Amino acid sequence: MRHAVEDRSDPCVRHTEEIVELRLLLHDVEMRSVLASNELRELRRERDALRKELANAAGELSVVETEHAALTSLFVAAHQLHGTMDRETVLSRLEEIIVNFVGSEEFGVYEHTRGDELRRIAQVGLSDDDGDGRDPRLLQDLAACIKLEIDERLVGYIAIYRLLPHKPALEPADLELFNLLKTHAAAALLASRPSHDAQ
Amino acid sequence: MRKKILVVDDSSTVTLVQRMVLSRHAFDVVVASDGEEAIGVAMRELPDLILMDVVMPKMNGFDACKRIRQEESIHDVPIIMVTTRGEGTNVERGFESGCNDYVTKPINSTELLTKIHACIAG
Repeated sequence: MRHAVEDRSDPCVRHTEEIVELRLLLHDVEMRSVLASNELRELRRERDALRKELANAAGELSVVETEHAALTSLFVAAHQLHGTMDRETVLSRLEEIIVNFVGSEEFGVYEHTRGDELRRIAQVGLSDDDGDGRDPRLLQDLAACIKLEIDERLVGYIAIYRLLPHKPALEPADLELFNLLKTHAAAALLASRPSHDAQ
Repeated sequence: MRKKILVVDDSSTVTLVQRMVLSRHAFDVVVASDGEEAIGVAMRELPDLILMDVVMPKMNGFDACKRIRQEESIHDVPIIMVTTRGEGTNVERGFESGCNDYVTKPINSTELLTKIHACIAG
């Protein structure tokens, strides 16, 4: 006991003990540092994975948004075309659909008359000189031509001559809309015919 | 708190589609069918943003935009012009009238929502 007390009072022994303690502390710090580095690496890996997941989710959300917007346009187009029996309103809504959903300000809507002639019943951006059924541009320079038919009965055509300057080409959503217009615009035109004729 | 957007367009087809898109993204929507009506609705409803068509009866979008900038209670409401033409002169005229941004038809809803959020946040 006495010998040990004497040893601790010896500066050399005390320094040695301090060095041992410091080395232990250093070792402990080094171990913590290694653990922290591992944890940091793991967190970075998780962050990268989350970023990737977020980017994928953003991409998927964008696709869903685009699909939703296309479906909304289809719903609204059908709703608007069948929401009235009035010929003028049907034609004006058809024009709105093509201007706002397709993006064209140069198109004509043509209808087969009972005499089987083709008559232009609505137009945007075309001059009156372009004529009715004899429109020379009907079969040329078209951006799109939508055949309007129902139950294999040909009702008419929508001829889109030009898209808006900032819209370089038709998109898949436009083709879906054209498919809807094919029968729904035909049905709306047929349904509004009697009231128009009566007028 | 839900933000309120005033949609100004003379086409019921456009207002219907905008109402559906904006409602789905938690916006309240009020509608006006021409520029003149838009000023009255804006002063009554105090919207957080106005989506303004250009070609409309009675008063077009440019003139309505100028008038809104002169009205004390609504002069600082952000306005996004909706135009069929993205050409320089049309866009310049929109900014001169006091609009904050513009979108072209056919409207891309993702682009529209991004611009709406940017305008409302800014």
